[in-house]
Amino acid sequence: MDCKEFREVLDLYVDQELSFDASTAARIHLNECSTCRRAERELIRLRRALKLVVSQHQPSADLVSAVRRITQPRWRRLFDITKRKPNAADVARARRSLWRETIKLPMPVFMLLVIAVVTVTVVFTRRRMFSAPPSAGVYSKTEAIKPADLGPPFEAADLSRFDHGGRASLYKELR
Amino acid sequence: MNRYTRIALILLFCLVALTSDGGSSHLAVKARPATDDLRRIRFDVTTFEEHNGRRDVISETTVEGPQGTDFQIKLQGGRFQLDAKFLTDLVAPEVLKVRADLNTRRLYGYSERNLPLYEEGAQKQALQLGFDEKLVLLPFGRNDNSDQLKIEITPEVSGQSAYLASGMARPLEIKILKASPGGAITVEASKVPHRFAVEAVLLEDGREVARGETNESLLEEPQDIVLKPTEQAGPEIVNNPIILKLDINRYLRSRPTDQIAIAFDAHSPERQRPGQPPPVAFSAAGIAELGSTLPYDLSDYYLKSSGRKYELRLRVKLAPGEEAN
Amino acid sequence: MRLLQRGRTKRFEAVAVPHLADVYRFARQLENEQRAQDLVQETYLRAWKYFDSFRPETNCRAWLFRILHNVWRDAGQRARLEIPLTEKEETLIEPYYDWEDEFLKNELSMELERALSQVPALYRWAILLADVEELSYQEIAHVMNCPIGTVMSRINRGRRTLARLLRSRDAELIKELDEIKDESTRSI
Repeated sequence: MDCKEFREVLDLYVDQELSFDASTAARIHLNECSTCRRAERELIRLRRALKLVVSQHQPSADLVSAVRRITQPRWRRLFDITKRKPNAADVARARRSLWRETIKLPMPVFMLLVIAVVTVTVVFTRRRMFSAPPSAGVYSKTEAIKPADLGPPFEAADLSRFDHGGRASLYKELR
Repeated sequence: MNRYTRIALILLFCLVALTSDGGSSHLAVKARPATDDLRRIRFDVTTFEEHNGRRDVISETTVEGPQGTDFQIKLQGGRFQLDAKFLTDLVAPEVLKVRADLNTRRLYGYSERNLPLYEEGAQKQALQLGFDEKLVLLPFGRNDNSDQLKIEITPEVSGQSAYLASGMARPLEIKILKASPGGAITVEASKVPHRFAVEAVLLEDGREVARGETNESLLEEPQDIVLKPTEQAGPEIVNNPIILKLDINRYLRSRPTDQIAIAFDAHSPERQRPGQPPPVAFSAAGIAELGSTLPYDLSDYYLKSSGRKYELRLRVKLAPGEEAN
Repeated sequence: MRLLQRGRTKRFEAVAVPHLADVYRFARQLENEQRAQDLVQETYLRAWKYFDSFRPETNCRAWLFRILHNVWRDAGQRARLEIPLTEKEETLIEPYYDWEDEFLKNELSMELERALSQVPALYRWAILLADVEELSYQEIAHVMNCPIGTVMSRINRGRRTLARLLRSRDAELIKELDEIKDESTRSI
């Protein structure tokens, strides 16, 4: 391995992404070349410095509490359960606060409003479904999209009998 | 205002928006005379399984729309995924220009930390396709010795006019003639403008000193725009020309105006080292409404020692003759 | 139902919440403090919502970074300066000539953080995931949802851009110092 080749794989070498043989060749070159050793040293220093710089920041106590609250049931968020055991008065107060916090409209009025809006929306949507579709935009006959971007995706039809590891290809031919 | 009251108000607004949307979209569509004979194009997308010379149809779908209709074929297997996008333009009476963007993903194992490992492929291809020809897509490549999956895309001129008798544009149509088992193969279609006019202006302390324009920038096709110095430009500007390599890479439907996503490099052609691509002086991206101006401050990148303020302003509109709907 | 909920909560607190500091520190390199807090909260909200899809035997930290990447991408695409998306053509790794001299005078410096903030966002993502979080290239490709060749290119360019930014600051400093020296010499 010469200097040019080493420089081309320096990132991979420092990130331990090289194969065993390439890594060995790189190590041998490093033993012989002080310039490339200096380059490796500078890159490692940069990595170390990045770690130090990033580690300076700490999340605030408010942020930590906010994240912990995400998993807590609603009624616990109203008062801090970790401080003391709630008594009956606390629970009653929490229930009243819950009511006051969430509902300011009189309940019958609010329910009527929700029913009216939902009914009209459903009726209107059904009418649109049976009328002509819009003149532009995306038409899709796909299945429902799962949150596939949050983990290993696709479980679907078995096409493995066609898959021999080849590369997709596109060409044209006469009909 | 508490949360539920807010929810109620939002629902009310949605209701108003829904009821007004039907009316306004009617008004927004340009009326066309019924005699206009703009043709529609239909693409027959048929998937076959080939084995020992025998062909079995696995799925069949047709996509029909006006000229410039784009479509996407997705193939989803247990360990394999293909996403093939096709941008089509009618460039001559019997010739389609098809730009294909193929992306594949194949699961081949798990890392030491148990994350899935994929082998990914990406290809771009541009083809001219006559109506006496068809495109053949082999998602797994060619394999004459065993089962082979083949997708054929055949263009046809549709008998239907692009416009209804009322003058409204005829909508895109997708018909599934035979559904693929397990929904493995799906087809989507869309119609967005492909041709754009771009205006790029370089300002020095607020004065225009260079300008570049093009009326034929294609969606997803990077293009070079040379900023030519104007009369007000000094010798420094003349001796340091800028070239923009601009890519309009997405068209986004939005309200009140549609938007485009762009990305570009601004570089000087003269500071090239031998054997090296021209060094990039400035790279950026952005999303803007059609017709609006995107400003970029180049003062830190261009003629920095002069102490003057340099600003690049980009404006993208539809090309003459191109329609948003 | 409550028992199940409690079990899920306990698992989430044991598995995901311990990485809060890492996620925050990462987000802090992308945005200011307020925006970073918003990103972190949104990330954990989504993580809690989709926690059932997380496979316990996999790397939770990488899973959280993937969510953070999606949140960051969804929240901030408008009018942000980013590297152009035409990276498919650029799979060439540029030859190295930048690591010859000592450009990093002080490892723990505001200069480094400032320079890092000027590196284009997608490059910054790649080098932080590689150098700070020490994910493998395949894991980074999964987090950033891009091909591994693109990961290599972004890491390569990110590090070199950072080095150049640091070096140009030193050059300016030297130039400023030289100018001061010239002025003081002339006045004698």
